[in-house]
Amino acid sequence: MATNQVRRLLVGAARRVEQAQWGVAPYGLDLFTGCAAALDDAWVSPSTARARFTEDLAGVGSAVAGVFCGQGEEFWAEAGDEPVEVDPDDDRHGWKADRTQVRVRVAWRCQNPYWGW
Amino acid sequence: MSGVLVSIDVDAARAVVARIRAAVSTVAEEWADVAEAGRQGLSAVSVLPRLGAHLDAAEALARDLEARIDLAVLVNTGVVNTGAPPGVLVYPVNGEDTSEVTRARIGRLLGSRMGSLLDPDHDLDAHDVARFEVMARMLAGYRTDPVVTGAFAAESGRPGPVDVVGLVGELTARVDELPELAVDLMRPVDLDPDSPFTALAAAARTGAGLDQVAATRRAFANLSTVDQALVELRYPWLVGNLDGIPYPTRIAANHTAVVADLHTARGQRDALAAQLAELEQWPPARPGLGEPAVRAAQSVWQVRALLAAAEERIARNEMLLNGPTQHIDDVGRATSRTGHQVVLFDPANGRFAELVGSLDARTTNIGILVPGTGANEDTTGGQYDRAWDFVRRADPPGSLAMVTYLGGPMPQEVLFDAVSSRYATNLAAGLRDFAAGVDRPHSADVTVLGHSYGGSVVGAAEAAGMIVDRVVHVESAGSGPGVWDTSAYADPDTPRYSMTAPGDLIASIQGLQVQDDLGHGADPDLLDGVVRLETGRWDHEEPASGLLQGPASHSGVFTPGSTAWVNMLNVLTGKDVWVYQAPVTHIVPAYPRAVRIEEYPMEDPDYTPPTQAVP
Repeated sequence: MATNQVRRLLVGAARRVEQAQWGVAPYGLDLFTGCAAALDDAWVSPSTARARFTEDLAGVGSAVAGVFCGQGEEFWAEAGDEPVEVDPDDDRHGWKADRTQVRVRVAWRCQNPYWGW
Repeated sequence: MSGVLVSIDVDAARAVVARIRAAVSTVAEEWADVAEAGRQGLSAVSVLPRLGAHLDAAEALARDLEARIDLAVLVNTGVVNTGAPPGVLVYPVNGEDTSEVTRARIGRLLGSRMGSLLDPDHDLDAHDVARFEVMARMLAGYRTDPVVTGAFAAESGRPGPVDVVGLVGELTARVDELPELAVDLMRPVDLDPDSPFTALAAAARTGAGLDQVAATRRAFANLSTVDQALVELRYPWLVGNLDGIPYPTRIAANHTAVVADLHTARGQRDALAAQLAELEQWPPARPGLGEPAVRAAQSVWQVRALLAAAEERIARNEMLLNGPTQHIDDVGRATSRTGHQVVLFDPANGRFAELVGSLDARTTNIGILVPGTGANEDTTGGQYDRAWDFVRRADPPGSLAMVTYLGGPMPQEVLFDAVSSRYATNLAAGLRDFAAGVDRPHSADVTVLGHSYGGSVVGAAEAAGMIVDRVVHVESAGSGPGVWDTSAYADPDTPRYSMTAPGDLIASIQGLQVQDDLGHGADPDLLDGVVRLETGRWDHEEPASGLLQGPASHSGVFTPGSTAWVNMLNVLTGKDVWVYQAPVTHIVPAYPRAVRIEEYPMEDPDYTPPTQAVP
């Protein structure tokens, strides 16, 4: 039996999402941290239009955070579906033990215009 | 306009726009890494379209805020005077101020205000031009926004795609009718620190030098096409004479400069005429003007001289603006247009240069003609004619453009002034930078041709760093002050040519140098590496036309069709040239001493000089 490289890579991707969430909004703050406060000073009146603008901005900020969060969960779920180890001689899943074979499949997908990513 | 007043602190609001965009950019970068990590694990990364939609929404909000700022700027650029404190801009809104409403308002305001400024009946001042600059740049930013461009087209009555560069050109053309505006625009001002032209101004401030020319080229190339058009309208004083600026921009800017100078000269003429009329009354009409008759006569003489100078300046400027110039049309025929193409206009310092012919896709060679002793602003017409003679005979038609170049005061008389090297040394750096700044479509070859004292100027410029494709010394005073071999030049291997007709009096000073300030270095005919050209006959096709020789040959070499002239044209266009052959010298015994007779090969009607290819 050997380590399942696909699972390892999916776990890496899930952790990369967590790191990205920190990169775009550290300490769990809003993506557009400070913009609302700055707008309070910059956009004096009318306050209703400003309030609507800042609400829209906050909405986009939380939606973006939600996207990262959702993608992280998806990666974790995909990783959970993969076994920790695979038999290299297994006809169906053996390739997952070999990083080179994983890369070949990645390259093939990248070159295939009909693949949906 | 009516409704709720909106106030925005422009700088603070722009900072918010920048923060939104920075956050969007960070998200995009982080997401790219996340997506790549997922791909490596063969995940389909399914949420990408959703993220893209959110980022588009964030960008739309940034654009919305930017539109509100633009509207505030527009209003406070003079469209509506709100009396708001500095830094806080105010604009009125009606009801629902969505992004689309705001942008439509921007389009209408731009259409109405820019249309008004372009109206021939609308008088303009420099403040109007400053406002136009802001609006043109703003309109360019919305060029692909159908809401803004649609509202602009409807309000301005200019249907079709928005052509901002064309609008700027229209306003630039209006300067012709508004000489007071031209005078205002020619007045140097400090540029706003946020101006897109600060890099250009910084390059101009670095002073003379090839680095400055290169920095200017870079700064201009980095401007948007709208800003490139705006700079010639708004800051002609900056770009008209700046080496490294493309010629069309210099020509447009100097057109404004000539209009301004003409207006100033007319004002001086009128003032002097009034002063003269008063002085010519005797006894003086005005109490307190009772100076002695001698002083009055002196004043009259001085004012008359100043008046004559003003009249000459007016005539010169009118000729530059309205005089006919010749061009080669698309089918190779000479055709006439109105106005000269001035690429250097600095009457205060005696500097002038103009493009003769056209720089376009056909241009493969460019010649710079540097005149000699006696050249000044009043002789530019003669230089133009000489340059045009070359342009119109170049083959193929349109392949040669010429530039006449007067880089500053030249010696005005032969006996005392022309031996002084100080004019050449003073003008060297200017010619070096000017040659480096020539527009070269498709890397056309540049030939610099120095006539008489101009030859010494060319040599001095080469010693100061000028590098061009070819150099020609025509009846040249010398190779340049202190130049005794080609190693003194920036590029010793530049193809160089020289010609001196037999009997030209210039030969008496060639090769003379006394200390640093008298003389012009080596005789260029004898300088190693220089190809001496045949000056031949008055008509190269007519053996009986006689040798081009004697004092008249000094300028006679420019006679179209002469051997010397054809040789110049062939160097300028990179064709074969006729090479000089030394005369055979006969010593005839005579009393009280032997007589030396030189027999020139070209005296033989059947003689054809050897040829050499010009690289």
